[in-house]
Amino acid sequence: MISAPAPRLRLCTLLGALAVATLVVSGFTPAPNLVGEWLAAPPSVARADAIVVLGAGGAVWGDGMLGNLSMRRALRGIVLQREGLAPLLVFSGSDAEVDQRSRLARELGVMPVRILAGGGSNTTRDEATRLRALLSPRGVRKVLLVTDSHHMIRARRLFERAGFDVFAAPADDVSTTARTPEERLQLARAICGEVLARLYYRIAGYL
Amino acid sequence: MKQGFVLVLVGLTSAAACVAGTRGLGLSWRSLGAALARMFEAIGLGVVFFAINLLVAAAAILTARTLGPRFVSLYLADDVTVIALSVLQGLVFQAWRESPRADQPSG
Repeated sequence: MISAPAPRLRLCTLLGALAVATLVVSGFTPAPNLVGEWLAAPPSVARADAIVVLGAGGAVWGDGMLGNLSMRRALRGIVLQREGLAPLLVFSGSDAEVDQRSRLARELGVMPVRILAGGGSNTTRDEATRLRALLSPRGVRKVLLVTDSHHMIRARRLFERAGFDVFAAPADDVSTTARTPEERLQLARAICGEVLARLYYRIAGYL
Repeated sequence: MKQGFVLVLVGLTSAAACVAGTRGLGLSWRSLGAALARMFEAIGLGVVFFAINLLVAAAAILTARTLGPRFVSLYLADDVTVIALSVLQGLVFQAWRESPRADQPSG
């Protein structure tokens, strides 16, 4: 006996067409770059009491080296400190990440007395809360925040809510540098991730 | 340059597949449209699996974060393999739907 063909799922067909169209538009047009620029925080680099380098998901690889994202942020912070934009360089994130970044900063010529380790954080909200407790007694009010351009808006609001005056020093300009289909798809994925994170923070009442 | 190369590459191999399908295998152009619709349907099922995977992951992680002794990051679910495996789930489910139904009583 021949069974009847499976019924068509029109909504799934529409979803699939939409997904393929999104893939093509994201990979082969500048759409992700434009959305990325719109979602990113512009730099507002200025003198501050401390440079705060946010964690990058505790990104320390199996060989003990910092992951690319964490390394990029750390180097941006070190360069800003060497340029004299703040007397204090604060590394935030997981303990292992903070240890590696502090060691890197010392090896690149930052005086140990200028480095402050603010480890033990798991989320951006956690970082803002812990750093307020760590920095307020030292009289730090103005901070130059170093993180990714897309993460900056969420991080900035959390640090402002924690009582800091915040200047932004994005560690990347990925919205304008993504040029190949693969880079654009990575950018689109990063944008989706940050949009979901902002949504979660809003629903949870953190922003 | 690179995106142009990729598009031309895929365009050429697709054109070759069309020629092979129509001349070599005797397939019709009309059935190509139906095949595209089925492909979109399978991808759509993959999107549904992806959404379900994300929701289940978020619920499990937030529960573990609330009840467990250790912090569990939501970024645990932020892995490109989730997308790939979701699409595979969709493809398998679509193939399963289109396979002959379970034994039916014969006349």
